Order: sequence, then C-alpha cells, then structure tokens
Amino acid sequence: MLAVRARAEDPVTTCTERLDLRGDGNPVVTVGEWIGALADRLALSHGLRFHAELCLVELIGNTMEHSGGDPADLRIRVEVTLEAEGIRLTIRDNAHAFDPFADRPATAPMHIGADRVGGWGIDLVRRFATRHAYRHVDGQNIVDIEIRL
Amino acid sequence: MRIDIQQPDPETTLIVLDGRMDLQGTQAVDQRFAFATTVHRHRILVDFSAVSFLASIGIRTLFVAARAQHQRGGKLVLFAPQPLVRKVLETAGVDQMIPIADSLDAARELAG
Repeated sequence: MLAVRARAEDPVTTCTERLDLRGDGNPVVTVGEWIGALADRLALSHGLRFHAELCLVELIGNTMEHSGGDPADLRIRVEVTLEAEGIRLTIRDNAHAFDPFADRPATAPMHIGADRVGGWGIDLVRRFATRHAYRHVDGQNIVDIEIRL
Repeated sequence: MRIDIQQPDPETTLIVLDGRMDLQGTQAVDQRFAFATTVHRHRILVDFSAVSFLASIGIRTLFVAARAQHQRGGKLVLFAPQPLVRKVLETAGVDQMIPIADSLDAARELAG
C-alpha cells in the first residue's frame, strides 16, 4: 500500500512536501497524480509543473527499471521544496547503488532504423533540470534536482 | 487521454490526440494508435495540439509508429505541439526522425 506523508512548512516563501512510495504500488502513476494535485494546490505555473512532473516520472521510472530485487522491498521518498527561485526535488531510494547520470551519453542517439527503443528519460531530466546531482549516502541513492525557470 | 482517428482521404490517416501522454495516458491509447500507425503503409498526420504533457513512454509509442511507417514506405508527421511538448520532442531527438509541422496544412505538405 502507498503511504503518503506531507508537510507544509512556510506557505509564503518556502513549502516542503513529501511522498513515500513502494515499488509495488505503481509509483510512476502515483507520483504523477501527486505532483499534479500539489501543483494545483500551490498554484504552480504550468512550466514549473511540467518540468517537475517530467523529472519525477522519469527518475522514478528509471529507479523501477534499475532497482533489481523485489519491488515490494523498494522504498522511494520524494521531497518537493517550493522556493522563491523555483523548485527543488529530492528522490531517495533503498535500491542498490546506481547513479542514473553516470556513463551515459548526454543525448541518446535517435535513428529511425534503431533496434533500441527507449533511453530518453534521463536525457529529458538532464535537459529539463537546471541542476542535477547524485549521491549515495547511508545505503540510499539520493538524486537532487533543481528547476529554475 | 483520448484518440480520434479519421481518414480524410484514402491515403491519409489523421490522428487527433487529446490529453496527457504520461504512463496512464499512453497506455490508454497505445493499442489504437499502434493499430492505426503500424499495420498499413499510410500518410499519417498526428495532431498534437491538445497533448499537454509528454513523457518518454509516449516517445516510445511515437518511435514505434514512425519506424513501422518508415519500413513500409509510409510517413508520419506530427503537427502543432505545445511549446513544452515540442521541447520534449526535440530534446529526445524525435524531430530528427519524425517531421514536426506547425499546422495541419504544413503537415500535409511535409507528408507529401
């Protein structure tokens, strides 16, 4: 089952909301719905909402793809912080160490005759995030995203 | 996500997509879109004007359709994407294999 824990701090200048997900709870769909509802509630601009949702669904989809193991054991925490300059996203998971930004070309090759289908998600994150970073701390993968529009 | 498939002339299929091409939206239209775009050689025009969100799962659907038409000698053209959706298409390199036009008329010209 999905567990949701949200907390609003300062609604005027900064606001932090959190969502806890399980790997077996359809987290890509859930996070998309959650960020949509959050964007409505916080009256985020269309652009900010679009960028944030795209980064979240692609990163969590990527986590699901590469986590290995039993999805029921996968725990993902999403933290969204609205700031005056934009939005900050932090995604933590307990899967094995995996840097989604490592060892990948900046832009996936695209050719109509290519056998490979896919691999665009992280490229989209690179492009739509103002800043992206990965760290592995205390057994957790942590991805930090900043979006400034 | 809604899909409307029209055949304005015997050689042309016009597909109007409306909604969000996220995981749920893409899954909702994927079968009909694939059937309309991969089975027969055709001139396929895809109206993207009402698509408000596009994730990589939707790009995969477009890629499969364009590749199928390429293999059959047909052509698939997208038209009128919203600015952020267009940015997704361009970032993923979709515009390198699927022509993107500003309007239906321009799409008809590109499709030949």
